Amino acid sequence: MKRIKNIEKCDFFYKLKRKLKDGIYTLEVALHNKLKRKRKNTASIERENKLNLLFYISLVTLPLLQVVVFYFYVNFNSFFLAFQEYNPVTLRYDWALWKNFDNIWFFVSREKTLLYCFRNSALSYVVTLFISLPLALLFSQYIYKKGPAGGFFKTVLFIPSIIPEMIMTTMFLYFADSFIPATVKGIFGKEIAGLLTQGNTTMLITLLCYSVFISFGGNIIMYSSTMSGIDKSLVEAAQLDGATQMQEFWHITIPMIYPTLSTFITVGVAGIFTHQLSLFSLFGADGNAYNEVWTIGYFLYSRTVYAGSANYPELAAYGLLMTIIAVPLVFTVRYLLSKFGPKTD
Amino acid sequence: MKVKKKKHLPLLFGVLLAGMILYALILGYMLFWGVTSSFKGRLEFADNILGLPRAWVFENYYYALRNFVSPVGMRNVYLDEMLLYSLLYAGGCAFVSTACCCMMGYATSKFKYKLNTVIYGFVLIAMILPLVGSLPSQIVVFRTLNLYDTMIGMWVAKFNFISVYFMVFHAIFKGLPVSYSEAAKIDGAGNWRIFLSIMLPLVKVTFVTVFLLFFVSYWNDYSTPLLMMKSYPTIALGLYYFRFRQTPDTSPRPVQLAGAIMVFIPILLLFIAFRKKLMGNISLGGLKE
Repeated sequence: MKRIKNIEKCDFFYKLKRKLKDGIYTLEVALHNKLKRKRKNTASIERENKLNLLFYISLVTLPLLQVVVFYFYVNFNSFFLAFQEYNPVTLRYDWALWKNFDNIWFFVSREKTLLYCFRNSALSYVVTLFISLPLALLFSQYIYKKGPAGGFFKTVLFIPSIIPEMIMTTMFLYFADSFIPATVKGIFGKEIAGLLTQGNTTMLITLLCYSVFISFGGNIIMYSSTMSGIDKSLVEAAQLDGATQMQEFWHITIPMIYPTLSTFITVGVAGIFTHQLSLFSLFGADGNAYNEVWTIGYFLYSRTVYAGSANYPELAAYGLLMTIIAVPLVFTVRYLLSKFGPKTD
Repeated sequence: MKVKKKKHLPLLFGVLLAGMILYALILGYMLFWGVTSSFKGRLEFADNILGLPRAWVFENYYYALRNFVSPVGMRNVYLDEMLLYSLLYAGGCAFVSTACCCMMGYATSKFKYKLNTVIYGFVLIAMILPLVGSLPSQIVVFRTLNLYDTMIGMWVAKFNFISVYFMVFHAIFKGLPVSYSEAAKIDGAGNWRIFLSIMLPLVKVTFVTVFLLFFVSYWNDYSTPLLMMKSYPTIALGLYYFRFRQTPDTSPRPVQLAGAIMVFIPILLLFIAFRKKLMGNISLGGLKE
């Protein structure tokens, strides 16, 4: 009996030992597998990260290099150029500190040209902000809400922006200078000078009207497609509450597209200093345009066209002065737009 | 239950409709007047300003074509050569501009690196930062790099992503679900393959639209070639020369109008062919959530 008991006991220990061994082995295998897989995973993730980084670098390197040379270097160089002068003997630019600024001061103190430029450029921005922009937004609302013949008018408003500026201005110049005086004479029997005749007081107003006339194109496309992304349920809710189109425009459309809108207004500030009011296409070289209608953009561009290496430093100095005025202006506008813009709620 | 829409036009839309009809009439009439006047005789233009031409003078177009030249150094460049330069300038610049915006848009939206925030912020600031009057400096730099007055120089200059279209691409790529690229990755596709054969076809419509918009703007641009590429006059620059050259053959107004209309034809054909694409939906995704 005792022997049998002993055998059973042994058997029990034997089984226990086997079980333990098996368990340890399974655990080992599992642990081994797990560790191996983990090692494999980290290796493949690392490899993928490396590949991604390589791909990313190959995409961004050239564009960034371009920006470094043609944005950063060009603008830094422009800054330095403002304090240099051209040396016709060595064909290099030497330092001349304030000489260019003295020349500018001399010009400003004798002539009103720059004053006119500032006035007209500011006027042009005001017209853009308070006439072109609201009209563009209203027309976009009309197109987005699918008003009658909206698609047709979208095309019509877009046309002036694809017609080359030279062609539009050639037609407009003769239209304003020949057609309109002839029409006025035919209807009222009164002789008037062409609207764009040099020195005529109607010139500036005509130019501003023309700039509004051709301004819609791309803006309307941009605004109306942004508007088409507005949540339909919001509009439906407003309609159920009996909102008129004007109320919907003012209380839903404008606040909803405000991010796009404010970006465009801010970008537009830079336009004050580059907008030419089509003067160069209409009149070409600066001698041909009556200086009371000049803008800053026209002044700088036409001077650059007719400048040689010797004139570049002075032009760069003009640029620097304008930039000093423009940068705080842009950030003020940006601040005001974010402060007084519609709040999300 | 279907609710019948109100039949009458809201007051605001009535006013807008009237405004747009007026706009269409003025624009249409101006173009119509320009086209018909280009067929008037030189003397007739002075006394018959408003009416249709009494005798249709087609020679105006002949004079315009014959005198449509750009002076380059000692020689004259004619319309056929200008057409080639226009295609190279507008086509090449539009392609590199679009490709650059697209590449950067993809890189900054699909990969998570800190540099992305810097790039996006930089574009935002560069777009609103008015650094005025850098043209002279640009010319100086171009001269230093031997890129001044070359076609390649223009392409290099336009390979730039400081543009609203960078943001357009950024927004679009960001909106595309990750599952597309993940599925391709499981099938063993590399990054370039995913970008070229999966992502690009998905944004094809936007790519073509942006390309066409760039193309039209470069085609119409005479101011950059006038400053930077005088030896390769484009058609737009040719029109500028044509407009301000004072010769007995070119200065009469009907001939001027004929020249303008003549070069308008290619862009008109392009517009008719790609009207839908040119006016396609493009947005920055700038909506309040």
